[in-house]
Amino acid sequence: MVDTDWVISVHKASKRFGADVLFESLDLEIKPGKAIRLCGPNGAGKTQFLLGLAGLVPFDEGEVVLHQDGTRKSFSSDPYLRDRDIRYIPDSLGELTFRSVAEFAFLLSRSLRPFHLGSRADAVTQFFERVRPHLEQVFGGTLCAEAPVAALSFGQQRCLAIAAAVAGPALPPRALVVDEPLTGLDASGVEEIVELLSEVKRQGVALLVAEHRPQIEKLDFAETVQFPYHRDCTEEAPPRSHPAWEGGDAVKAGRAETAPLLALDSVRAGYPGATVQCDELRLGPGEIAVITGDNGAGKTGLLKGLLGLPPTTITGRVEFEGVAVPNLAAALKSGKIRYMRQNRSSFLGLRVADVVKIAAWAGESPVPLKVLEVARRTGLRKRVEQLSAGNRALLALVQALAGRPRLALLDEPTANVDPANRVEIFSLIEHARQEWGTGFLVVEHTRLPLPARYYRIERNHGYPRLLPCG
Amino acid sequence: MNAQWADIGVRTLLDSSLVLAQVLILNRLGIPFAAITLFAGLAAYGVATALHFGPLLFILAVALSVLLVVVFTALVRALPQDSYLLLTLAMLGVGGALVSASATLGGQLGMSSTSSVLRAQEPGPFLWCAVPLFLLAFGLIWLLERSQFGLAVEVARMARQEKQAISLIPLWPITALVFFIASGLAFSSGAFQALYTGRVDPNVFRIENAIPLLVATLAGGRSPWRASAIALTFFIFPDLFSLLVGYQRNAMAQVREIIWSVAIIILAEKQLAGARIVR
Amino acid sequence: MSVETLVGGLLRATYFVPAVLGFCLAARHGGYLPLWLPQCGTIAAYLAYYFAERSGWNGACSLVGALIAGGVLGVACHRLLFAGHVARREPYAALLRGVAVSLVIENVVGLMSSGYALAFETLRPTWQVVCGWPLNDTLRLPDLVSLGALAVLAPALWLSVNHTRLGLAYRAVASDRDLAREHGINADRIDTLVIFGASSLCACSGILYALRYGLTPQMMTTPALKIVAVAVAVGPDRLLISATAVVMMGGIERLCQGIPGAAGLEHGVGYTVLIIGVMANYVLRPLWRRWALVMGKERFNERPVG
Repeated sequence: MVDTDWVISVHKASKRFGADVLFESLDLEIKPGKAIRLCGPNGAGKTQFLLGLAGLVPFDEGEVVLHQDGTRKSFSSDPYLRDRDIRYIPDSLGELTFRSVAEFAFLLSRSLRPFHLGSRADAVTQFFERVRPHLEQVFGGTLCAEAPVAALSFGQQRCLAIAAAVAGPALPPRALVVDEPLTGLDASGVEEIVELLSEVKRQGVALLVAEHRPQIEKLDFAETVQFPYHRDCTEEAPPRSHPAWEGGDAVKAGRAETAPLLALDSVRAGYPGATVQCDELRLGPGEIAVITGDNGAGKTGLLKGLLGLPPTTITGRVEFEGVAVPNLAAALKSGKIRYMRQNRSSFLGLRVADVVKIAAWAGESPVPLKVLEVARRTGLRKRVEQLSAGNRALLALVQALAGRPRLALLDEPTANVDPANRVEIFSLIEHARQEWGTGFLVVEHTRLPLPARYYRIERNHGYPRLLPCG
Repeated sequence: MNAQWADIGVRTLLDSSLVLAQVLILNRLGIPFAAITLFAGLAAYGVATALHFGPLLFILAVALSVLLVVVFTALVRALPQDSYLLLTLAMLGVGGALVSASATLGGQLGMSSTSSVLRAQEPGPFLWCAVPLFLLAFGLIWLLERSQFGLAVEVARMARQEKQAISLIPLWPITALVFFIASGLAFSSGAFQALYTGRVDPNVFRIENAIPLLVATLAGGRSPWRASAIALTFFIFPDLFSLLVGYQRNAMAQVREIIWSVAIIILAEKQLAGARIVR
Repeated sequence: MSVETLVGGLLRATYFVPAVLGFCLAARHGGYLPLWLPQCGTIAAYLAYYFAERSGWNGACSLVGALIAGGVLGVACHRLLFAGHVARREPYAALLRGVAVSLVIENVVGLMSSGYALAFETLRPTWQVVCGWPLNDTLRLPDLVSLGALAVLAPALWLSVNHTRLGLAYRAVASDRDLAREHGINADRIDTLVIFGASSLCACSGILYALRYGLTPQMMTTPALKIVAVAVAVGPDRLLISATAVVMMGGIERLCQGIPGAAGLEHGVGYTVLIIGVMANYVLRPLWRRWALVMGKERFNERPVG
């Protein structure tokens, strides 16, 4: 019988990385059978919170406490001991997928007796025979005990991990903490996972889920926590109209007549095994194309594949400035194309002034005044690691635009950026678009307050495809 | 002739036990530890001082070994792999500097470690110590391959890269236990070696002495059979060659060091490829 | 122990200033500790001896030839054995290989020279000046060149790294190689330049030391420990402090020599500094930061103003 007379409280949990406050004074109550959703862009702190809750990384401040039968008990900082009550399922199962199905389930069900000298093969076999019917019922198919988990699909791996996590010999945990369970799954995979999590919730296990996709809402969340979490922060959307882009609602007609800056036809690009098919895409000077999609859909891989960055691959017809090229690597090297990465921790140890100089390294013209002005506002004497997340994003954009590129590929330029800096970013993009005719291929989760064409990566006939949307 | 073979056997088995002890830490746990001779050296000096001054210093050597194990275990997650390796080598160097600076411990010349019970250089009785020690080391690695404890050790090895693995096992106790076992084996090997040779000196802490052991460890892999076969061959070969061909064992020391070093250059590429920054 | 002994130790340690500068440059560039690099000094010293004493070259040609050869061999060694590890960010494997390469060089040189100590005859520095307190010894030309390295070379290198275009390219590649490439910086060229320069600096140290104190196969092995310890403790990006620190370590070692009955501790100084450096960087500093956070010391969080 699952115990339901308890509450897990999180008191004033805080976590910072240098200048970035991921969350501050976060209070939360976790109750039996209650589902809590964590939302927010990449790098906002959701995973750090979940890891901190499971004891895998320490909070800078705050505590996690169990209230039961009128008593109050702080959880151990040892993740192994805390795991009995708060169990973590990561988004990526990593090296564990090299294990056999039976061993994987054995480990994740916490059936392993770490100091036991008895035969592991016997223990794993006995365990697997006992839980096989239940796992196969959840899995919806037969399981081969000896097959490596890596041979299963992402969805099957996730199903197996979640099912095994609550299938152990001991009582299930009080709370299951799941990080992006629907990443990279197609519709049927999503349905399986959501159904499995619903079943776990019905058993009285509390769920904390970090997930973007709307299908997760079937879990009927009691509470949603928005990240980055600050006690006095209100999330504002940038204003609909702004002087920086007044009159820019429609793409300028003149530009539509020039040859496209970038033309993709039947291109397939991305990380091996996760390529995205793009049937047709045209981008002219001064135009913005926005690529959206769920986490793990292949957006970053697509950009890197177009740029020819290892280990990605690309096939199909690519034209840049009317010339057919195998990929955009040569244009990147020459400075005609610039790439703003998702990872803003670049050129750590250098000052902002140095980064700006490097950005204009290959260029023949000096750094544009507008770009220099933005760089000055972030603080030219500051080192990169001293900047906040918003200022780092601004600096990354400055790097991308310092050489007045013909085309800029931006990977989530506003992820984890405060509203004020977001306005700066859009202002700079609009300036580049209007003044220099720079084209933009942007990966984003949300719609931009700028004139743009939108595409979405959807699973179509079993593989990811870039499709135009409204 | 029999005494000669017994002598070779004792030295080979004791050195191979050291290699198997290091296999437990380096290959099984995945911890970049190159200073197994530190524990052997502590044991050697502990035995020598116990014979001269009574058991107190031996107990101190044991306590110091235990403390070192605790420190090494605690630092595993705090330090990146290259810094950890450097630290272990530096500890060896400090150990050597301290014993060579101490007049009580004989300084640069070392001290005698001849016992009246087990007489030095008489290989017969020492075979009865060396063989069980080697079999124990072999048996432990064999057990790790088959037991749930061994599976936990494999998960502990994975824990450097996989956060989730930390919650699957009691990481610190597993790491500490394997370290204790390995240091115990090394301590025993060092003690027997000291009693057998009858003399200890600061050379036992030299980094150059740790290198052949490291080569054998890297080449040995995780399998008990392979690690044992390679370790035994590695240490028996120079004596065998010397016996059969008749050259002076010590004369080729530089050539041997070159060969071990080249072996590390080759093995470091193969064995450690993919040992990326895990800070 | 006297002041003269201490000053003598400090002076002797200045011979390794070029080597520590080269080591720090290469360590920051490659992201690993190139333990093999100081052995370029051993190779260069023996080559200079061979050119000058056995092949009959004139002094300048011998020294310059040995310097260049040391640099070229360093580049070749890096390309062959370490460039892959640098590109794949594998400092542990590179460190292990570096230890092995260092031992190979030391033993090959030992084998070829039969382990005997050698001394320059034709290139023996003859110019000397008697120096009073606090040295109370003769100063020779290599001593002055080493002092010049500390006084001139270290600041010049610091200025180059921090205030020139080439230095900016070096720092960019050291920080993020792939991104630097994307911005048009030729990372491979920077690689070659840095390793050549670092190897030549180590060669310079080795040659100077050999001119003054003679050649042995282990001549750069013990100093290499000092150099590594300084780079770990101080950080490879602090050139001026590293140069000063290596000199001070020489003084500390000489102080230990003066302690009755504890001369052997001299060899433990480098290892001790290494241990302190590692512990300070990875154990004490995070603890300090955590304490500062808890105590609400905002300045340690480095938040932007405004």
